[in-house]
Amino acid sequence: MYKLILCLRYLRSRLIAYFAILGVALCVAMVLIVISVMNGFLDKIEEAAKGLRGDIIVYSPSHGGIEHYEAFIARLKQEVPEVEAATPYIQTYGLLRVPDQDYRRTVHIVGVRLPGSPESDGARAMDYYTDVSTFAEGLFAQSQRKQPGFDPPPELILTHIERDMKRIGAISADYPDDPTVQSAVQAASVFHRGARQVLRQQEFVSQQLAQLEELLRQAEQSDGTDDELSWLENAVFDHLKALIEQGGFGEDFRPFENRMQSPEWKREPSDLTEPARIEKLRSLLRDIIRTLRTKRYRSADRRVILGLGIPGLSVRAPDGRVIRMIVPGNTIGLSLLPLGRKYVSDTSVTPVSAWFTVVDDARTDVSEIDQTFVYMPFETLQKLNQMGAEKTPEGVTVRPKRCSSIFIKVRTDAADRAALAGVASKVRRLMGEFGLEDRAVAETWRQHHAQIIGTIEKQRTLAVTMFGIISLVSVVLIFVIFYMMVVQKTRDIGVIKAVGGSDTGVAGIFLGYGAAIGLIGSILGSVGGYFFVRYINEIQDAIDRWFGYRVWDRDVFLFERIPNEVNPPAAAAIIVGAIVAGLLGALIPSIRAARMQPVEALRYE
Amino acid sequence: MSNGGGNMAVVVRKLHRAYRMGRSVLRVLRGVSFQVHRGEFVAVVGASGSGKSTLLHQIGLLDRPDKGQIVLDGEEVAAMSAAKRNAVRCRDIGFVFQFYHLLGEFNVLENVMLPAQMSRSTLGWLMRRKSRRREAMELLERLGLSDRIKHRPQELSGGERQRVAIARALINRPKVVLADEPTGNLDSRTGEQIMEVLSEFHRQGQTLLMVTHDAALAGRAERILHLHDGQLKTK
Repeated sequence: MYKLILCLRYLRSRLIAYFAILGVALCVAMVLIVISVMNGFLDKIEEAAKGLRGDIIVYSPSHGGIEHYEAFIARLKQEVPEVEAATPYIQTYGLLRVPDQDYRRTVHIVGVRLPGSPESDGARAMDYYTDVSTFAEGLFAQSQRKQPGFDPPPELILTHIERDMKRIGAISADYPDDPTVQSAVQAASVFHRGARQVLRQQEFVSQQLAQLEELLRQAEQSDGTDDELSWLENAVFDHLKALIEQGGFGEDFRPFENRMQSPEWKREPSDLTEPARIEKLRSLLRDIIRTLRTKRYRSADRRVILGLGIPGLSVRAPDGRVIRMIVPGNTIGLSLLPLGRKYVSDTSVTPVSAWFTVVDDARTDVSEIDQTFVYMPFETLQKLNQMGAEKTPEGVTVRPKRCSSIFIKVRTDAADRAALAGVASKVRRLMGEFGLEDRAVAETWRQHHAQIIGTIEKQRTLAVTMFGIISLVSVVLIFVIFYMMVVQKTRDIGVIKAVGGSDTGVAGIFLGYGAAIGLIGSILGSVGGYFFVRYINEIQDAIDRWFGYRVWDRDVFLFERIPNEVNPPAAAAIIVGAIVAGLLGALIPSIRAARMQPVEALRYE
Repeated sequence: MSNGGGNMAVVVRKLHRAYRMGRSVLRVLRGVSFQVHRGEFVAVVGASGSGKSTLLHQIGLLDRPDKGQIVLDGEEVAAMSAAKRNAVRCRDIGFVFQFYHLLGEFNVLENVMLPAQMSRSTLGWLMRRKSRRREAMELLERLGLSDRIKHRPQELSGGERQRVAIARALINRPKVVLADEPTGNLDSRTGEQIMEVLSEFHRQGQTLLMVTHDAALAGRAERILHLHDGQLKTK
């Protein structure tokens, strides 16, 4: 009992004990921060790697691509029960431009299958990119949509654009004197307004289209009685007027209006039989609908989703908030080299260019991807990249259509390291059956990203070793402090022994003292370390704001934010380590105190 | 095991203790033998360096003799194991030092109760804490320190500190109190008061063995032993 009381008294009354606690706390916090950030970094890489490309990646090292991928995927899903989803993917390079702007930027153009894209019948057995990846979660306008695609409803985008405009207004108000922010906001508002106009028109077009399609359905069911006919004619006429006046499509729809107002049209009904009259109206309606469909923003295969972070298309305010300058509804131009073509003796590569409507933007939080990726419908890119089927003039297929990679998602129960390797070898076996073993490689996500994972794992080991060595300082610190204390307290030791204290009792006081310093220091250090890690991004932002220095550069570290999760087992191990360090530091001085002869101790001056 | 008879508190037989000082050997005690009866007050007088304190440390089990026997209350203690010696030191011996030797981190009451705590396990101490505290309070009251129990030793005068040390020595009701120049660090008036306190406890039956170089102080004892060059001389 006296040991505990004396231990606590020593702890309270000695300033040096506070320094020892501080030393231990700093070492604990330091190691905790390093381990948490490094482990978090590795976890993020795993999450990002799996989130972007699934658990197993089959890819063609050349740009030639993987043939028979549809059949391969169908067989894969049939024969490998661990496979949950598989999707083809095309990746190539291109140049991005913005109309009326002196802007160009090289980008990766990727073709992904999303729900609602135009596609061949054979493709339907395959899964979507969103089934394999976490792509959907990072979408701007469609993050809440069950089936995000390249054809989101204009009203949905419009809502997001309106919201984004307000958000940008707030950013502008926060940085009134920041020229970068202000010019970005100015550009953003121009593009937002343009997009809003396009989208409002699109909303109108969608509504008109839906109503006209309904009218056509009614017309198709109608027998063409006078009453019905005149009601339908009036309705169609009203829509035409709306399209010309409200929609501003005079050029396109005035000819239809003129047709309905022409004496021929007026006269014709009486000359024709009822079925012929209704058929004439149906035909007119079909023409109107066909024309109106061309007014929907660029045809379905000319739509893209931009990576959020392409330099020049968005800017970051100093606090990290993004100012989108190009938003869904705007147009961009893409030029790409059709690398999927066979270049045998031909040396010229002619780029393919087209304008595309941006329908959404995607954020993966992997800065390298967000800064360079443009997503477009898989089959569109397949055509543009000349990876479609090559046929002779007689229609004989000489080369089937191809994709660059196949991303495979594995069921959760087979996603651990060993099980995944087993699934990968099954995939390889099947590749052999399709003759793909020479042209494509199957790798687990870990193998695919081995270089970066290996680098970070080595960095972590190095950092932990270095900080571990630094932490030895705390052991030495405690040792020195305790040695001094034993010297200072020699008389006390003599007194304790003189009144009956045992050697172990005396050692216990100093060991308990060491353990207490270790425990208190490690609790303080781990609490401090926890909060540091938790708010590491806010701390970085503050350092950036005050000193203009950014430790975590997203271009260097791949990710937007510093990982801020503390791993509880690691924290527990560090706390135990600190207590052991405290005990070790106190051990030799304690033994010295215990072995001290009471007479010598009492005589000590 | 031999013992020193039923009425003896301390029996010392042919005690030898030498210290090695570099190449030379300093023989501090050279066959010291004497007895202290229960309830007796014995003073050992000698010049500085005569071996008084060494003798007291051997009897108080703070050091081991090279040769000879020490019998405390009928029990041979010189050759005991360290653990037993700790227990005997705690239970049967009370020390009063010249320089008080109180723990600066403990207050008066805690210093007094320290041997009481050590004599029991944590559980045993927790069970008897109240009664031992009462005893400590009574002792301190008798020594005129009841209003100083929360004070730290450094806040007390020399005389007060020595009275605290006496209380600490007496708390376990030891068989013998060993006092090493108990007034050596005090002025004569305070020294007198301290001697009066010790005499008072002796009158109540406490066995006392005091070493001092002060013949006048030794005069208060019932019997005086003279130590000279590590041997007792009869005068």
